[in-house]
Parts: sequence; structure tokens; C-alpha cells
Amino acid sequence: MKRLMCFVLIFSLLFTITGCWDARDIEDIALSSAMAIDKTPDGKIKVTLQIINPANISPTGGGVGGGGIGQGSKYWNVSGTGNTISQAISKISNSMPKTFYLAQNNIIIIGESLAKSGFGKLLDSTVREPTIRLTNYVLISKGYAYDILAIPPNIEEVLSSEILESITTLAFANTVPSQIKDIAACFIGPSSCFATTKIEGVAKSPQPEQGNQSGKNDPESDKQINLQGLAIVKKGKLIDYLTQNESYGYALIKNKVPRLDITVTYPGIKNSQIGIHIIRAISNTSAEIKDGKLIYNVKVNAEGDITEIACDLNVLNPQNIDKINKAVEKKLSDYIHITFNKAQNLDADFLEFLNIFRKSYPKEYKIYKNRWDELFPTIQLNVKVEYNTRRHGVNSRSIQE
Amino acid sequence: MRFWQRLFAKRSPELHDYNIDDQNICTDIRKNIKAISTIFKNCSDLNIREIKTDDRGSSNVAVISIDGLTDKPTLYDGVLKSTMIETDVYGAQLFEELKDRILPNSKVNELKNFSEVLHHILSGDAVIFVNGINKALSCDTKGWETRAVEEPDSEATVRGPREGFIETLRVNTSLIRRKIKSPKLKMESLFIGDYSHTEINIAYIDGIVDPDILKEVKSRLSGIDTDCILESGYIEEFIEDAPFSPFPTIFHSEKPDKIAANLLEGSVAIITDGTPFVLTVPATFWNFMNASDDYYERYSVANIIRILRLLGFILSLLLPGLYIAITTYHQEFLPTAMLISIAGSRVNVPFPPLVEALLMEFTFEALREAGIRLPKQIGQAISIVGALVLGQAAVSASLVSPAMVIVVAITGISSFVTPSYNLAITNRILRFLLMVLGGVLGLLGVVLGFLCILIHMESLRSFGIPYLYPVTPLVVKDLKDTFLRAPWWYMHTRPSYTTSNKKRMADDLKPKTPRG
Repeated sequence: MKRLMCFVLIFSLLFTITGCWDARDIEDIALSSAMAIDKTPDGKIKVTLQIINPANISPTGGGVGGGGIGQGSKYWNVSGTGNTISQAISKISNSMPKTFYLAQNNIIIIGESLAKSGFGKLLDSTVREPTIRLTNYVLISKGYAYDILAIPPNIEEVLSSEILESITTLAFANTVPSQIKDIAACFIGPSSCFATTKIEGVAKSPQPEQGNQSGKNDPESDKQINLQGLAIVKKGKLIDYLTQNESYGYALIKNKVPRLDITVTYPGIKNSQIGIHIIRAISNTSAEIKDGKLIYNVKVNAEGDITEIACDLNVLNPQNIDKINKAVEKKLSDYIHITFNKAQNLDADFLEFLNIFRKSYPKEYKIYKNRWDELFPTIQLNVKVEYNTRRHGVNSRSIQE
Repeated sequence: MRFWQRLFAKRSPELHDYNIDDQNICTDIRKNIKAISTIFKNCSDLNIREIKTDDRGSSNVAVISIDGLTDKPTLYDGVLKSTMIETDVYGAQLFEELKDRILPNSKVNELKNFSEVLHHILSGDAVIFVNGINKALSCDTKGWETRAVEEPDSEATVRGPREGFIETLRVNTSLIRRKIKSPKLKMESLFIGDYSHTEINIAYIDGIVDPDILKEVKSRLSGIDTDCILESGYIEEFIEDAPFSPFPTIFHSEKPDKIAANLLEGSVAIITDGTPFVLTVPATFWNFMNASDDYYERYSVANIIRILRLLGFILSLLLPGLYIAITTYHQEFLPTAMLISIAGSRVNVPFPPLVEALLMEFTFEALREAGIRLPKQIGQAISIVGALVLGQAAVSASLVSPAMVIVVAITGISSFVTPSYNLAITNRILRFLLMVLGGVLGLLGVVLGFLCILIHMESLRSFGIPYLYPVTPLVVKDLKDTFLRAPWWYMHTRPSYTTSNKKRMADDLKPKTPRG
């Protein structure tokens, strides 16, 4: 009897004490899917959130039960300014009927002007705030970040998911995006350099005419997003961008090549164009001290297919394949060298060579880490690429013949 | 507790209620007949047939039986016809003659007093009084309308015997005896219930059963002192280990093959007259989770179904609680696309998820209960109306979100996967508990509640055997028949907890691939 009473008492306590903190109904949260951070001309921080309106996306909400609210837009960009990110966000809540929810935010875009003047300190709040995921992609926009969020989506329902989808399905090594956790790790290390994807709005290709929609005069509506190249950040400031070819080299060194399409010239045939589709490239970078000099060895093991032969060439001949292989190896090695030279010229170790050095020489690392800026431009690089052609397609000769 | 004891204080109908001075049978048949008619006053179903064996004076043989409990052909041809003889022997001589020579019956007993007489009359036997001797004879003429042996509705199988127990004890014991044709299968009889005199048989296999468990069963059964046993559920409640636990600790089944299998694993079966449900003890959690098909299907197939069943059990226990906790507290758990669609579907729903879920689950349980009670033809209509129309209407009226309908539907389907009905009820009760915990405390509450359930299951015993045996305490050897079932040729031993005769089969029964 006593035990039963105890049980009843304890059970009734459940209803008076709190467990998981702060219940919020799923329909009462303002779901932020992308965040844009910019600097206003008067030096303040402007934060723009892309808030999703689930009622207009979900087919049942808008269709069966929606009735009146089914006509609104699918998302809503709201901005607020302040001295810090959190202050700016709290300003936004003045015009927001729901609670902010940042845990589903996937993308943080940083405007160019803010990036150039330094944004390292601002990232602190993204790591400190428990609801923000460390897997947020940090992108740097050419121009203002909120302009990017104003571009209408083309295929997805919300722009943020269009950006996220293009990041996660990045089929080619055009760019390598970084997440908050990668960037935070870079900031902790002594080199504090990283590279991340550059995002910009580019003009759309001509679209089929759509009657009554032609009246728009918003310049952003004629644009589409484009993720290409990399932005180099050193000590919290944007210093330069990498071109397409330099991005290839970055992806190769960092071992982040999902796929890569390149064109090589067949040695001996003028103006010959051979398209190569690299399906796998595994790289391994190691540091080595030799005769007092710091040498880095990059080894790349690549495999690929021939996708196009625009010259008279018989691929059934193994010697020809060998020659193509050699040409591809040369090309890949060139990409790596271009990127490395750029890094040395900028004196920005966004390739994280210091990290590799630390792993191989932990003792020497302690001496060298403070002089890394002087040391980095003197590094020698050895590149060794091994490439093999796996498939050449169904026809052995070019169709031109 | 006192209150209950007083309420159920001992009452027993003794013979002295009937003003019979002597319990013993008289030599005078007239007195005996009078006594019987006094005892059975106002019982219109009592038949007394007086017979004269000569042409002198009054009748000297009487056959007493209850109409409806006796098989008429047996009574007429086997008892009445053979007593209607013309003879010149009387008294003890006639009695001996009847008993030893004349009565064509396999079960003739000599009765010495009236309580035996009453017992035999009331169980459907014919009792014969002979003038001049203070004894009576009983003949087995039991026979009444019974249901045919048919497939039980509550335990349908795809493969396996279809027969099920019925309401008659002897038929039920014969069904078990037909599976285990061994004199080692013992069936001890006892009677419980002051008014009902319900016959209970304790069945076990001598040499396999653990004597301690058998002793415990007997002592618990003999402790029952009540007026009536109408169903084995009465006995279950009187003898179970954990009367307040939601979990059943005594297994019951309507299928003879299941009971036979349990007997062969050292269980004790309690067969009650008047009900098709036979109890077996000790029972572990796995008894309730396993269907008999598992043993008849090939083991690879059976194992996949077992995994499915366990998943279904856990799903139906946790899913609504988890859904409530995640949508109320932990939205970051959901993938963005799913969050958007759930949030979108809930836009116009006026209730918080907990109320919504309780509403839907209540409706579902009510529908299910109604489906059982209603006549079969209407029952189907109700479930279709309930499931389709009501669900659709609730969604379009924005009372319930479509996601919740899906959650409730999945929960409902997976709760039917549990083969044993009484464990499924337990599951349902606990699901509501976890839903409330999930709504009040979030995931913390669900985890807490689940842990409490696990701890409670750990603490349960069934006739001395831990409820989760052999998983906790871990006995690796006995794991061969829990989450998964080993192939038959690998199950060499019986579960080690109950048996003294452990070896079950030869060692090398694995079929070999023929060479050549």
C-alpha cells in the first residue's frame, strides 16, 4: 500500500515538474533555412533570415485544410541590424509572429564587404549558440548576401534548399564548401586560413516566355545562383578568390574530388581535344624534412573514362592510351602546382599544410608554428600523379572518320 | 485488504443444510430416494427411474441421473436396459451382480456416502441404488452438447494444426494426450469451487518437469478457496506472481500443440473444465512473443518474422511517444523536408500533439473494442467506416494532422503483430503511459518510461523463473530460442531452468549434403 502511494505520488509529480526544457509546437516555430550576414555602410551587422512557411509548401496544409492562407509565398526573408548577430536576430523577432528556430538552418552566407573587413569574431556566436548546427555550410557571396537570398528559386520551392541541394549534389570538383566545424577548426589552428565556396547571382539563360509573368522589374528575379570557385580567408578576412582551375588543384590536394571533367591535348596531333571524365582521384599529402628543407609530397591516384575524342585516334592501341594517361597526369599535376603557387604568393596556407606537418613532426611543429608565415613560401612541392584510363566508350575510333 | 477478505469469507454448501441425519447411504432404498429428492427439491432436471426386478411389491432398484448431462443412448442401453432384468437375487447379491457382470460400462464405481453420490450425479453419471445394501453404483454416462473441435479465432496460424481446445475438460486432455502418447504425461485432477466443483487437471511430463515448480503449482492451486471457477482467468489471478504488474506472468493458449510444446519444455499445464484456455507456467516474455508458426516454418523464414515481430512490438510501444516528444521538443531531430511537411500539415490543428495523439489513440482503441463486441457482419462495416471515413473527415476538418493518422495507423498495425493478445493489451496500456511522458517530459520522459518498464520486467518472476530469462540473467545456451530460433537439429537441449531431463535429441541431426 505504501509502495503504491509512493508510485502515485511520484507519478503525479511528473505533471508538475518540467522535463525537456521549453516545449514548442511544431507549427509555431519560424523555421529559418538560410542566414545571410552583411555589413551595413554604417558598420553594423545586418542579418537576413529566410523563413520557410510550411503551410504553403506542404500539399495538405495548403490544399485540404489551408483555405485562406494557401495563397501566400513559400518563404519570407526578414532582416534586422545590430552590433552583433544575436542582437540583429532579436530585432527581427519584432516583426515575427513565431519563435525563431535555427536548428534547421543549413546555410550561412557572408557578404563580400563584411568578409573583406573581417568576420572571424562573428562566427563565435554560430559556434556558441546550441541550436545552430555545426554542419551549416558557410558560403561567401560576391556582393551582398541578402541579394543572394532575394534570387527566386528555379527548381526547388525555396532558394535555401536549392543552394543546399546544389552543394550536396556537387558532381564536379568546381568548388569545395566548408562547414562551420571545419572553419572553427581552422580558426583554432595557428594558420587560421581556409577556403570556402563562392556564391554569386548570375544572369539566367533566356527562358521560355510565360505570358503574364513578364511584368516583373525586380533585377534579382532574372538571376540564378552559381556556386563556383573558392574564396580564400586568412585571419578572418577575405583576401582573394580562386579561379576554376585553381579550385581543381585545391580539391585534388584536399582529396575532395567527387568527379572532374578535363580536356587534354593528344601529344602529336594538333588541336586535338580529348575529354576525360575522372571518376576517382585519391590523394595523399605528406611532409618531409630533407637537408633542412621542408618538402611536401602529393601523391594522386586517379582513374577515369574517355568521354570524347575529337581527333583521329584509335583507342584500341594501348600505346595511345598510355600517351593519353601521361597527358592527363601532366594536366592534374599542373592544377596542383597552380593552386600551390597561388597559396604561396598569397602566403595563405588554406591547404592546411601546417596540419600535415604537425602530424608528421610533432616536435618540430612547436618550433615552426609561429614562423609558419615566413616558412610557407619556401616550401617545395613534389607532385606525383598516377592516372589510368578505365573505359573508352563503345566506339574505338572517333565518329568523324 | 481486510475488507476484501471479509467480503469473500468462506461459504460452503454442506450436506447438513438438507437435514439429512446420516451422510451414509441407507439399506432402505425408499429412504435413499427420499433423501435425494429432498436434496434436489425444485430441481426439475433430476430424473429418478425406479425399477422392479420381480413382480413382487415395490421397486428395488433406482437409477438417478440429471437430464441434459447424460448421454441418452448410453443411459438407456447401457444402464436402464441392463438393470431391467428379471432376477431372483436381491440386496448385496444383486448389487455385486450388477457391478461385476451386468453393467456394460467401463467406469463403474462403488459409492459409500451421499457426498460422493451428489458429486457423481452432478457430473453427469448415473447413480444406481439397490434395495438392501448401503452402497450405490455410479456409471459413466456423461454426455452433453459440446462445441466441435475447431480452429480458435484468437490464435490463427498459417502452418500448423488447426484444432483448438473446447469447453469440455476430457476432450481437451485427449487433445494433449494425442500429441504426447506417453504414460509419463501425467494429469492430476482436483476440484475447485464450493458451488462450481470445477475440475482442474494439472498436466506435466514426469521426468522433464522440475519437481519444485510442480510442488509450487500444487500448493498455490490448493490454496484457492472460492465458490466458483468459471474460466481459467480466475485461476490465473489467484496464483500469479505479480498481481499488480501489467505484464502477464502466466501463459495461456487455446491450441493443443502449443501446450504440448510447453509441456515438453518442462512447463506445468493447468487445464480447467469449462474453458478452452489452458494455462502453462512458468512463462517468460518470449513465450508471449513467439507464435507456433515459428517452429513449423523453416527456421530462416521464422527468424525474419521474429525480428519483424519484435520490431513491431517496440514500434507500437514507442512510436506515438517518440512522435509527440520529437514534434513538441526536439524538432532538430527531423530532416528539414520532413519537418516542413509535418509543420505544414499541423498548421490548422488546434490541439497540441499530445492531445491529438490521445484523441486518435482513444478512437482507435474504441474502434477495436467495438469491433470485438459487435456482431461479425457489422464489425467489419464499423472498422471500415471508422478507419476511412472518420480518419479522412478528421483530417479534412483539421482536427488531426495527417502525420498523426499515419503514426496511429502504424502503431495499430504493429500492435497486432504480437501473437499473444494479453501481451498486446499490456503494450497498449504502456503506450499511453509513454505518450503522456513524452508530452510532459519530452524524450527524457520516453527514455525514463522505457527504462522503468525494462526495470520492472527485470524484477518479474514467474514461478521462480526470471521473466526475461535467458536474456537477463544471460544464459547463452538457452538463447537459441529467443530473439531468433536455431534450426531444429541444433536445439539439442531443453531450457535449462525447468528440466531435469535436458537432452532432447541426438547430436548429429544436421542434414548432410549427399555426395556424388
